[in-house]
Amino acid sequence: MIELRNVTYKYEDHPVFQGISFRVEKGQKVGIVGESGCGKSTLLKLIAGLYTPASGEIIVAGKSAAAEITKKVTVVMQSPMLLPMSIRENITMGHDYPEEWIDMVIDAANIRSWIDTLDKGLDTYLGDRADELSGGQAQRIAIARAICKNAEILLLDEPTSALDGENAACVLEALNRYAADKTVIHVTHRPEHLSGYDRIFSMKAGKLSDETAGVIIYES
Amino acid sequence: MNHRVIRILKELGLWKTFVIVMILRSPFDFLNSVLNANMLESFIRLTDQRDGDNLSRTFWIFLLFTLLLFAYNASIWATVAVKTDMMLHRRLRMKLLESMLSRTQQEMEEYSEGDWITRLNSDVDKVADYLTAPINFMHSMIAVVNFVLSSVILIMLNPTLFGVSLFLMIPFFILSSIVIVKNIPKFRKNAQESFARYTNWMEPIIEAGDAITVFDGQDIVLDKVREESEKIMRENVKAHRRTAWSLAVSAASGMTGYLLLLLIGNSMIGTMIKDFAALIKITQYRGRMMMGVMCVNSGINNMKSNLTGVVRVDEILKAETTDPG
Repeated sequence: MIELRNVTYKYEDHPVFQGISFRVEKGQKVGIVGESGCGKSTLLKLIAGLYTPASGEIIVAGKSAAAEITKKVTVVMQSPMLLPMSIRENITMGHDYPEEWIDMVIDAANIRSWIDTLDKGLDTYLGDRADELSGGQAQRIAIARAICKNAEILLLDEPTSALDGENAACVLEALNRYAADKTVIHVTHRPEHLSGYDRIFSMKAGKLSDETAGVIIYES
Repeated sequence: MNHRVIRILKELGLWKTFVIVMILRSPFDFLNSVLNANMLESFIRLTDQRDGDNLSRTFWIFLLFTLLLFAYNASIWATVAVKTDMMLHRRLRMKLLESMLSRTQQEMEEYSEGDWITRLNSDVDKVADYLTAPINFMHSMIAVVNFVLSSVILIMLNPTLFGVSLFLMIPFFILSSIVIVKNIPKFRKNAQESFARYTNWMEPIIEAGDAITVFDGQDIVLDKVREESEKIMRENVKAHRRTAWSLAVSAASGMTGYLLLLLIGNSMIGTMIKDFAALIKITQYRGRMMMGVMCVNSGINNMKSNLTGVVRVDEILKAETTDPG
């Protein structure tokens, strides 16, 4: 489902990864833990097709071209990355989805009760007011957007890092419910968010280890 | 002058300097009018009298006065006016930045980032343009002085010609400077607000680039940005159209000069006009009067456009001045 074959990635001529290889099977839930700045977000962006490796190959759902890979994945980033348009447009990103699907998405992302309090509901223009949303509200819109795309693979990059305990729990609950039958790679520095995951990778001092299997996948 | 502009100038400590520059510059057009009218009168009279010696002396005298006048005007422009313009830009930006920095985060969030950027750049430029750019307030004031003093001379030379000129001028002026340009500030304000929203898109496009790629949002983002860009263009075109109409009406009023000569030609055949040279002189003053009105008309157009920036800058400075804390 996701396979990295001898991937090398450089940032301004400095190698971040050199010859990294691993494979994640369809439906598996993989967590990657590690301190800030160790390269785990970079790894996730490589898998998402947002970065291009200097050498090696990344195959996601049978596709290897970056433009094709991005179609197969959906992501929730650390920052919700909302745009100055309506909540609906932020969720659908301008694509046509049936109203019933959007309804389901709102329920799945746990934003129904909040949306119902807004005068214009889903058509509320975020625009300049995007900053006025709480972190939890903004991140749940980002989750709704990820759910709405309904891709086979869900990539999570510290989706709860900016949230307090209660909001984080709420966001994680929404994500776990949606991701039950998806392939998931979840990058975090909090291992407690990865309970029930099939494999936990640890990234530390240039080394990527599969903690579950007790093997070192990559060492720089 | 608009009360907001006066408040801004006082706030920046430039009120007195600006008034001095204005006083220094204001006689230029009128002095130029006097020089031109008298030069033409002398030229025609002396040519008519075939007085070559005096014609040559007159040439040198007028050349000297013309050079002195232009040297005076250029020195005011190049030194005092440029310095004032620079001080205006610098102090205005500093004042706005001070105002921004003295605000709480909540107060800052009253305006979007794009709005702040627009106020700090485009709006500041509009304030400066209102005050010092060509065919704005400064030129309008010079034109008013020219109009008033040329009118006084024309009244003394030929009250009938003055009366009829004014009578033909007023409807054009009202139509052009009041009726047609009335909505220009509204169009410019809409354009500035759209510009602020357009600017607002730049940061998300950069920061949310990954999300736009993953969620295939390029089309909607381009549509939204294009929408804002088109709004700016639409509102500016509306304002431009009004300005063009106003200028066309103003130009048409210039044609009234020919009508005027035909209309009162009969009364001129008598004792009113001594000779052709005198006729040239009074039509010169009438022309200068018209020129003053046209300049004021164009100045009003431009000032109306730039007033949007003045209002938006004043909003920020006023909020800071009236803050009880």
